[in-house]
Formats: sequence, structure tokens, C-alpha cells
Amino acid sequence: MALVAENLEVIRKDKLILDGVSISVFPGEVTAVIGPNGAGKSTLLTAISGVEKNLTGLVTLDGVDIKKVSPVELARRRAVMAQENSIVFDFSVEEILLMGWIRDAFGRSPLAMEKIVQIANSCGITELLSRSFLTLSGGEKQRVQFCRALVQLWRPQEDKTSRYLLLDEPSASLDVSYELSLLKLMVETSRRDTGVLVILHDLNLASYFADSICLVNQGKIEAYGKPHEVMEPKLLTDVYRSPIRVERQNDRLYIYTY
Amino acid sequence: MTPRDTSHFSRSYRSLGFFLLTLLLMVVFGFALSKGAVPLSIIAIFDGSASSLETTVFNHLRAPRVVLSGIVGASLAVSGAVLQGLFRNPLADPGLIGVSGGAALGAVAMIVFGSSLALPETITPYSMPMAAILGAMVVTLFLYSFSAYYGQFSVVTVLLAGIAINALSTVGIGVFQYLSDDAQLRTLVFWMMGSFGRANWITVLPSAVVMLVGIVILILHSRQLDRLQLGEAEAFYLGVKVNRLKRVIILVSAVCVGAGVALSGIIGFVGLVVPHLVRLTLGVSHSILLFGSALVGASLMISADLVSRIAIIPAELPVGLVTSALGAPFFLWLIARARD
Repeated sequence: MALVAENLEVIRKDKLILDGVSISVFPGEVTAVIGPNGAGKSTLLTAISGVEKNLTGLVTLDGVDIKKVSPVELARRRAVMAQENSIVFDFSVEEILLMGWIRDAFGRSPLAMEKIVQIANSCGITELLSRSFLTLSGGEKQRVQFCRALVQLWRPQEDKTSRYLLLDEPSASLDVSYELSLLKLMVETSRRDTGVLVILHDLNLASYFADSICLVNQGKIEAYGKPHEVMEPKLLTDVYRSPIRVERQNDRLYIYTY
Repeated sequence: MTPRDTSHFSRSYRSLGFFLLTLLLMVVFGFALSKGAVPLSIIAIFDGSASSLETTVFNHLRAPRVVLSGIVGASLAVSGAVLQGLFRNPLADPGLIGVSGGAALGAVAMIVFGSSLALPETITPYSMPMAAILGAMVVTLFLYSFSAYYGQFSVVTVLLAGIAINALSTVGIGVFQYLSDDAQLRTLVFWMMGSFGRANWITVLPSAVVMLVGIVILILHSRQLDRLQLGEAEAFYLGVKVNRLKRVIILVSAVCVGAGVALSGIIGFVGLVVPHLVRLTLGVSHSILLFGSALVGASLMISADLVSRIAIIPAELPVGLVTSALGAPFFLWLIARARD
């Protein structure tokens, strides 16, 4: 069981954005994607999500080609948090979260409201529920979108089917404390039969929270493996074109980018 | 749009709102049935004490007219709301963005060329609504692909493209006017003024059924329309069959607008004003918005038609004049508000 991408190639306007990328996301694990700006990280994420149309290669969800999975079934199994949303109308945060509740065809069931309040509470956004989404700060919006993805993947305890959570820089506008609690929540979620693929810029956080790391550069995978295998100073220095040092203390990696 | 705190929109507040709107519609409906060039007592009609003239006026003129105006109002308001949702643009109104113009062009083409098509007699009464629906559909489809390709649905792109389409339909209608003979020209001019005056049950019933079915279909897509507000990709992530949803919205809103235009000419601004009022007072979630827009649209259009009937008895104002007189200042106010 896994969300597997094999040999992905994406071409946009005659430019090769992804060039033969293969990656696997396993339930119970966090896979971090790192790499310089414009490396193709977000394209990799959208390609795996099933939304990208100009794609060669194969993406399978527990062995089934995702092109053959209906959008509804796909939505039950994987949630995506994109980098930004352009919402025009004045929805409340509660209404935004309710959009993530895909288990009932119509309206707000008592179960939906109960779970939304519960998940919002675990994300620490209870006090935002009745606010207008448009009045939130960038960081608050990001926490709401993360919460929406968790609402989408909610299922009863006894349901052990694998789920997948794809996150594109989920903590980009968060302060250090919110960033930490979001990433901890992400790891907790992964331990409940959920495979997480997360794009991160902070190399220290990536090596601390991820079970495996995929370093992408110019549409290709440069390195893919356990954090201590990927976080090689020479490799990172080459890829980022900036001096990077790595220290190891008590099995923890400390990466210095200055 | 200026964001605001929506916390006071509790469920009981919304229930009260819907109760009041339903009450309003019933009051307006009853009032419009009884007022006009011939004042009628509804009680007298139903207990049989009305004169035969009054009964005839009620059955053949007043009742179909009020019913038609209500349904066209609801249909235009709901179409406006779903087009705004589809384009993610609060200023999309079927009239402003050219959908009504496309419908009008289709209808006019049928008035002028319909006879030379030699259609079977059974479908002749429906040929003009069909042509109008086709015109509305072509415009919506074009606008959607154009603004998706060139402007990421920016407010300005959609409105400017709408101006261009409206200009083109005016050209087309002008050409057809030039090509038409005297009888056709008369039909055409009367039709274009926009009025519910020619309502009779034979034309009202089928169109009313079609528009009601359309409104119900659109309301059933409320949750998917909500999700579309997050963006097309996000809607797909949440399990929405985005292309299917877009096709349904374009097709059904075109049917609603086209059927309305075919029966009563171009009536502007209802699709803009009504959804805005509902969003401000009840909320933006589509299940609330569409249902509320149907109620308010019907009330507003019945009232506008009542004004057009009784303002200058025995003559009539075109109802499009009344709605535009209300709607155009409202539109200016919206623009001013968006600039704040």
C-alpha cells in the first residue's frame, strides 16, 4: 500500500518541469520534498494529486492507476493543501471547513459539525470558526486550510484504509511556534495510517520531522532516502549554490545555511 | 468586497430570514394579483362572487402574468448567482456579461428567419425559446473559455468581454431588424421592450416548468459550487467533477436565462442586485444564496411588474426600465464600495 509515482514527466510551454521522477509515499510515514525555488516541487505534488493533465508516467494509489479512480473516491483517500487560495466571497471559517467534509452529500450533519469543532480544536483555530475567512492573516488562513485537509481525511477509528496527505509549504507564513505545532500534528496524522508528502524549505525541520527526504533539482531527483543520507553538505551546497554545513550530534542533524 | 464578521449569521437568524422572505413573497404575490387596471378581490374570485369580467381578467391576464414574472425573477436571480459562482466574480450578471444579449440575438434570429426554416407546427411555439437558450449557451461557453484562458477570471476581463459581446449582439440584432419585413419588425420591437404583458398559460406553463426544474438542478449543485470557490484544482481535490459541474452550470443557467428572455425580453440587473442583497443579509454559502435569491428574485420581479402595470394606467412601462432604474444605481454603488 502506497501512493506511488513512477517516471513522471511534465512539459509546460516546451519546458521540461519534471524529468523522470519516481517517488513513493507510505502510510505511517512523512516524506519531505526539498529543493531550490523552481526545482519542480509543486509540480511534483500536483502531478501526484491527479489534477495535472499534461503528464506522462504513472501514479498509483494502492496499486490502482489514479486516472481510473473517480474524483469522489480519490477525495476520500487523499487531501491536498495548496500554497494559496483566491477566495472572492465572504465565507466564514466554519463554512470553509465544511467544504472539506465530503462524507455527506448535503448540508451539515450533526457528525460533521461535531468533528469540525473537534479537529479545529486540535489545530488551535477554535476561536477563528465564526470569523470571515477574508479577514484572516496569511498565517491564520494557512492554519485553516491545513485544518480543512484534516477534515477531509477524517474517518472513524475502526476504518484503517490508507490515506494520503499532500502539503505544499504548509507552514510558509507561520511563526515558529505555530510552525512547530502544525508539523507535530502532521506527524501525528501520519501515524494513523496516513502517508504524508510535504514540501518544506527549512532543512532542519525537514530532517527532524521527515522519515525520508527527496531532494529535487531542475526537475530531477538528486537524492532520495533517510535524512542522514540526503543531508550531505557537498550535495546540498551544489544544489542550492550556497555554502551549507551539516553537523551531527546524538543522532540529530543540524544544518547551517549561513 | 469588504469582508465582515459573519458570526451573527446563526442558524436561527437564517431560519427567521427565510421565513420572512417566504412571507414577503406571499404578500407581494397576493397584492400583485389584486392590483392593476382592473382591481380584483381575490376572495371574491375564489368564492365565486366576482363578475365574469373580473374572473376572465384574473384567469387569463393577471394570474399567468404574475406567475410568469415571479418565475422569471427567480430564474434570473438564481442564474446571476450561479454565474457569479462559476466566474468567481461578484459582478457577473447575465445582462452585463452578454448572456441575455446572446439569448436576445438567438430569439430575434428566430423571429426573422423562423418562418423560412419550415419547422413542424408542433415545435413552432418553442422555437424562439430554444433559439434564445442556444444563444445564451454559446455566449456563456465562449466567455468561460475566453476568461479562463486570457484573464484567470479577473473581474475586468469578464466585464470587458461582456461589453464586447453585448455590442456584437446589438450589431446582430440591428442586422436582423434591417432584414425583417414589417410584420416581423413589429413583433421584434414589442418583444425587445421587455414585458410580461403577453403572458398566457400556453406559453407560461412549459417555460415555467423548465425554469423551475433548472432552478432546482442549480440548487442541488450548491455544495459543489461552494467548493469551486476555493479554485478549480481545490474543488477537484475535494471530489468535485469540475468539468461536469461547469457544463451543468453553463447549460442550466443558459436555459434559465434563455427561457426568461424569450418570454419577456431583456430584463437587466435582477441577477446582479438580488444575489448581492442575499449575500449581505443571509450569507454566501450557495445553498442559502440560491434559495434566498429565488425568493427575493421572484418578489422583486413581481413588484417591478406591478409598478410597470400601475404607474401610468392605462399605458404600461416596460418592466426592464423599472429593474434597470433600480439596478443601475445599485451597480454604481457596488463599484464605489469595491474601490474603498
